Formats: sequence, structure tokens, C-alpha cells
Amino acid sequence: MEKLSLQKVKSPLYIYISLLVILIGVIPAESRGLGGLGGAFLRAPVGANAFGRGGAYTANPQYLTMWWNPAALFNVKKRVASLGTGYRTLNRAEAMAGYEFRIPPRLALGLSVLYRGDAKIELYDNDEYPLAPAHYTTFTMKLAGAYLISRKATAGFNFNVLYQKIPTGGNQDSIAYSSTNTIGFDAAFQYKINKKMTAAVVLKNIFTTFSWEFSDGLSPIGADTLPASVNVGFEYKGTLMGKPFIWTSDIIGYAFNGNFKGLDKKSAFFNNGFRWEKWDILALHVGVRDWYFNRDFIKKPKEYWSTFTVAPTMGCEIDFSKQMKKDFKVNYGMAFDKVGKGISIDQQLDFVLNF
Amino acid sequence: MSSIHSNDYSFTKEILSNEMFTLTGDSSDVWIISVNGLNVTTDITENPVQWTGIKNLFCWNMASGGGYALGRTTLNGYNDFDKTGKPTPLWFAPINNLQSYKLLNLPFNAPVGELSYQMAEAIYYENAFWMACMDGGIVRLNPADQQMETFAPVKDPNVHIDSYDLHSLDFSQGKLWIAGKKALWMFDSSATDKQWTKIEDSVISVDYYSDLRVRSTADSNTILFVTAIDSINESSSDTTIYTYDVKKNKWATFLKNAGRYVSFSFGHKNEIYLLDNKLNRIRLFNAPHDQITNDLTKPFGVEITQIGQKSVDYASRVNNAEGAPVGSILSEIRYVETPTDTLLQISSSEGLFYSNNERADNINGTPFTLVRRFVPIESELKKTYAYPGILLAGTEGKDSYATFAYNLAEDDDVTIDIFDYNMDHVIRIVDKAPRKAGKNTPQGRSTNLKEDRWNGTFKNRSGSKTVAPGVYYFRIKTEKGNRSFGKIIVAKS
Repeated sequence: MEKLSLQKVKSPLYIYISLLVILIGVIPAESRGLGGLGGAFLRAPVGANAFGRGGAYTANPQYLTMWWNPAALFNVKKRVASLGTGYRTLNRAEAMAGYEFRIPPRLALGLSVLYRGDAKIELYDNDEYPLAPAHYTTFTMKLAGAYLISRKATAGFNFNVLYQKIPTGGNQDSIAYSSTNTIGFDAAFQYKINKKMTAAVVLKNIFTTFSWEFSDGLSPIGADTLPASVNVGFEYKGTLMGKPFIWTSDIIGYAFNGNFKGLDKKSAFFNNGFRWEKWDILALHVGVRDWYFNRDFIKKPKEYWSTFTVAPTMGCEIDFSKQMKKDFKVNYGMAFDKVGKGISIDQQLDFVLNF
Repeated sequence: MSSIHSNDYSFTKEILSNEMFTLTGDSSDVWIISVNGLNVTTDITENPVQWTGIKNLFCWNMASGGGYALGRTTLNGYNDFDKTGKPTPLWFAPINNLQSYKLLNLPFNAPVGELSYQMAEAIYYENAFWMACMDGGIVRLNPADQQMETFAPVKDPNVHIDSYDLHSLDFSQGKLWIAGKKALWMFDSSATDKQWTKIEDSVISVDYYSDLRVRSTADSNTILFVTAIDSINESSSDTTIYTYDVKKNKWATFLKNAGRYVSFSFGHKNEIYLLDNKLNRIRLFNAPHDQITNDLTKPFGVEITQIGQKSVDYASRVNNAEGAPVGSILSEIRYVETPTDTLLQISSSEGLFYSNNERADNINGTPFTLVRRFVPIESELKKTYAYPGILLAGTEGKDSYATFAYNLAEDDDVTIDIFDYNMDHVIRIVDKAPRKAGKNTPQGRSTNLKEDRWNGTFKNRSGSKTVAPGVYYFRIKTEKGNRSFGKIIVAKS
């Protein structure tokens, strides 16, 4: 592989950094992230590989592509199946599965499902009597399709089905739940700039609106439209000490909701990840996730840094292909949570089989 | 959020609920009915006050006296009939041994499902409990042997049944005074023939009598204070409080527009406390009998808003009670004078406010003492939770705010933040706010009920907005390095 060359990377990198600078200038100072807006269960990375690489996996993902960039379904050689699980601080758990395949010459399809929830919620009533144990549950399914436009360009599309269930009433003996489901769409475009660089743009959660129907006499709230995101991803393949070294970077911007109406809280996040294939069977991952940007970065740096948080990540990929005579990998990723819950970490583990 | 109660009574030393309604007592004992049952103290002037709780006992129309207590039970907190359709029984107990309570049936062979023979109000007088039992008349209960006698006005076939419906009673000068739906009665239990006298009220136009209180005067007279509802149409009606001077046989108007639902208590000398539930405010009036006129259009009640240099501001005294939360909904008010104390008590949705030295002409402006349910919490932030845990954001009731319960081992500055499922920051509730260690507070916890709460919103450019439904996580951290986490569900209404 050629060594890292700044000349060749200059133009797309300049474009990428320029985009970041523009966002810093545009995002209002009072924006501090998306907390409180719907769809929080969708925003954490899916897949241990991405998890360990700072959640920067939009450009050129290798599996669970429907989550990241359905246009990248063409990374799949023939078929890939993946299965994984995760555990995060404060009893948040998740499980994911995916299946992707190509239909030569120009089509690719994929299906994934994701469970995320909190199985152990202790609740109390107005008089501080404990209620029965409660849980929060979400399911998300993505059905993806991609089209090979040219050797360098692909386009992709997701049809999503989402479900949520929350406790909305109860007593010491039992909990009453309310649930909602909806559909939504993602659209993606990927372009391989050259052998080293790939860029992608994904528009997520289009027309995704939840309408809750509460089960215990609460009136419906009306529509809760999720924030849409524009994910711009960039990947650069270089070398470090003679071994492949890959830098991936995502800028995730939230400016409007799924119905293209402006958001109250506009935000931009910067995720970066690195992968170093130091050994044949083991690749190391490290990254930084959820670095948010707004105008305070330049205008009020003291205030910006006083509330600054990021989630450092790390992980690895173990390639069992030689031992098993099959393209089989195990990925592990971990992230330090953003709220400082001691030394607790979020983790994901998954298994990927290419066949 | 509703709770399902059974009628299995259990005894405890805890305050059962902060959502308190009925307030009654005799002298310094206080009985409170809340959403979770009954709490009682035999002496509210003790320090500390000792409480007994009976979970799942919902006794309306309670009375106490002579060392006994009596009330009307309900099934599940609201049904006046038991599972067979008969009126629910009375609960009767000696105050010093509540566990030896008895359930007594009223002496009526009422048709199954008939409400018109239930006990509507009870008082203790002349060594007995007297109950107004709607169309059943008056029942006298002897506490010693629980024997009951029934007394009823002679049924006049020309008088519509609505004239009875006896629901409110009081005593003065050896007589019982009783309000029915459309008529007022005096019952002389000492007379040989147990005489009933209907009070002439044709000069006032009354749709419905809702309450009756009686005051004895120094000259052995009796003044009735009668609350009348102007119309049965709840949305548009109000009440008028009339007075009836028994000796002079004269009606007068004490107060117009007293409030659709009003809790009434005589105060010191000629003072009267009114708690207007609709407006959620306490008013203090003077009812000087020498100001009574015959002109029913001119109310003679005078509202007291200032005594000497001090304003009579009960709202601020309620809000300034130590640890008082905001947003209390006031339920009932009660004033009692004993030989040594003047007691004022107010039940509310956030606990019991009380003062043991409430002299209307010597109000010192100190806040009330607040009695609330506080569950012991481990200190050093070992445990924290929000209550209620299911928050109905965007509503106005008790479930519209979640309060954070926590206990510090030592005084410290506290920051409370809310995060969503992805640990994105939602809102900061308090920022380095000074809090006392739980051991240094009367409630045994560090929570500031006014500030340490969240209504399910976040700040945006236009002010604030309700968060999306889901699970949220709160973090309490101190400057000395301790931290604790808890969970809240936000469900919208």
C-alpha cells in the first residue's frame, strides 16, 4: 500500500474540514446536543467494529451496512451475516443481527434488526412506594437496497420499521405499558474517490414520526417526528509502520426533522476512528465519539470546554479466517460513557461471517 | 397514576401519603384521610409528633371524642357500597387502641344499593356520636356498648323526600342542628318527645344546603352559619354563607361568592377561616354579630387582610414552611382552641401544614410546620430515585413534576442533570446548589422540594419544550466527588 501522501488527500480533506468549520459557525451556541428529542435509542453506534472506532463508519462500512450507509451494500462480496450484542451502563442492553447479499450485477439487499432497551427500571409512585419492576423496549428493522451506478458510485435506500414501549402507569403489583410504531426511510450515496479515499452522504430518519397511544387514559400526544440526520462520512486508507492504517471520520448534522421542519436544537457531531491492522489476525480500533460543535468553540471557548464531553472508544477485530477456513471475524468495541459513571463502559461484541 | 387498594388494613408508624383530604379531630388529636389511608396523632403539640397510620382505611366524615373515633368506610377509596350492594359499614375504634377497631352496620333495612341511608356526617357530643344519615334520620351511637338509636323527622307526605337527605350537623346550647338538602332542622334530644323543629327559611332562596356550622354566643344564643349552593349546575354556581340568629329568628348574609367548594372553620373569637378549594386560597374573616343587618343583599362578613403591622398572608406561610414544595392544592382547614394552644391545620396535596400557636390577633408570621411522608434514604448518595417515576409532562397535576430524593452524608454543593437514552444532555436542574446533609434536616434527606424537581422539559430558543416520551436518566453529583444515578419515564398527556 502506498504511504500516506498529503498531496493526494488534500482536496477532499480540505472539503471535509471546510464543512466542519462551516458547521461550527452555523450551529447556535445554545445547542448542546439532541437531548430530549425523539429517537435517542437510534443514535448510538450499531456494530462492535463501529463502536470501537468512535462511531465513524458511514464511509465504507463492511457489515451492518444498512445501519450506516445502505449504498455500501456493495462492499459485501457475496453474502454476510452478523450477530451481536451489547451492554451499556445503567442496565441498557442491545442485540443486533444482519444479513446482506448481492444480486449481480448491480443490486444488493440487506436486512437488519436491532433491540435496544432498559430491562431494569425501578420506579416509585407519588408517595415513594416502589412500583413493580419496569422496562423500556425498542425494536428497529431496516430493509435496505442498493444500486451500483458506476464503479465508483453507489446509491442506497432503507425502509425502516421502528417500535417503542414505555411504562405509563401501574402500582406495586403490575405495570401498564404504552407502545408506538412507525416507518421511516434513509437515503445514501457513496463515492470511491480513489483507492485510498471514500466519501458518503446519508440522510437518515426521513418521515419518521411516532404517534403514541397511551394505554391508561392519557390522551394521545400527537405526532413526535424524529430529528433527521445528514451523515457525511470520509475514509482514508494509509499505512502506519508499514501496516494498513485507516482513518474514518463522520460529521453528523441535525438541522431539521423527518418532515424537513427546522429543529429547535440544531447540532453537529464529529466522530473519528482509527483502525490499525498491525497483525494478520488482529486489528486494533480506537476513536472519539460525539464531539459536538457550536459557535462557542470559537466565540466562548471557556464556556465551550467547561461543558465539553466526548466518549473515547477502543476495540479490536479478530480474524479467524485462517483457522476456520471461512471469512469469520469477531469484533469487540467499548466506549467510556459521557456522563462519568465511574469507570463503567459501554460494550458491544459481534460475529461476522462472509460466505 | 391510580393505585389499586384493597381493604386489608395494616398498621404503621409512617405517614401514608402526602395527598391528604379530610381533616378532623377533637382538641389536639388530628385525623387525616389521604389517598393511601388514615393517619392519626393523639397530640399534635408533642415534639416530635407521633403518628399512627392505617393503610387502606378510607374513612370519610370522621369524628372523634371521648377517647373514640368513628367514620364511614368506603370500598377501594370511593365506593359507598360493599360487594353485596349494602352501604359500607362504620369504622369505630378507641383512640388508644386502634387495632381493636370494629366495623358497625347502620340500623337500617335499606334496599340494596340505596345510597340514601348512608352516614353523611358525624359529631361527638353529650358522650355519644351523632350521625346525619340522609333519609334515615339521625343515629345516636353509644361508644361504650356501640348501641344505636334512630331519630327521624316525622315524614310528611306533602313534603318531598328531597327535604330530608340529612347530611350536615353541629351542636350548640344542648341542641342538635341539622341541614338537609333543602331544609334545616333543630333536634332537641333532651326533650321527652325528641322534638324536631323545622327552621323557617323562606326569606332566603336556596337551591341546596351544603354545610352547616353552629356557634354559641356569650349570651347563650346560637348562630347558624349555613352554606348554600346557588345552583346545581357546577360549572356556573357559587355559594353563599347565610347566618341564622336563633333567638331573634333572623336571617343575614355573611358572605356571597364564598367559593364553589369551601372548607369552613371557626377561628378565634368572631373569626372564621374559609378555604376556597377552587381558588386554592385561605381567607380569614371577622363575623361581628353586632354588624348583622336584616338586608340580605349586604353581607356583614369582613375579610381580615392585616393585623397590626402584619399582613395575614397564609399563602406565603404555606409556601415558606420548611421544605414545602410549590404547587400545594389545599383541601381542608381546621382551627381548635385548647386551654393552652391555638391550633390551625391545613390538609393539602403535599402534606399537612400546621401551627400550634395561631392566635388571629397575634399572628407572628412564622411559617407553618409541614408534615409529609418521607421514606428514609441511605445517605452518601447510596440510593436515589425520582417520585413519581412516571412523569406526565405537560400536565398540571401531581404527576407533572418528578422530585429527586437523595441524602448526603455531609453538607455539599449539588448539581443535577438529566440525560436521555443515548446519554445526551437534556437539561441541568440545579448547578452547584448548596444542600444540607440529611441528618441536618427535619425530613432526614437533602432534597430541596422547591428546586430538586423536573417537569419533563428542556430549554429551547422559544423557552421550553416537553421532551419526547421515553426513559431518561438523572445524575446527582456533588462537589466533593460523590455521584448517583436514577431513572425517570416521561409519558405525555
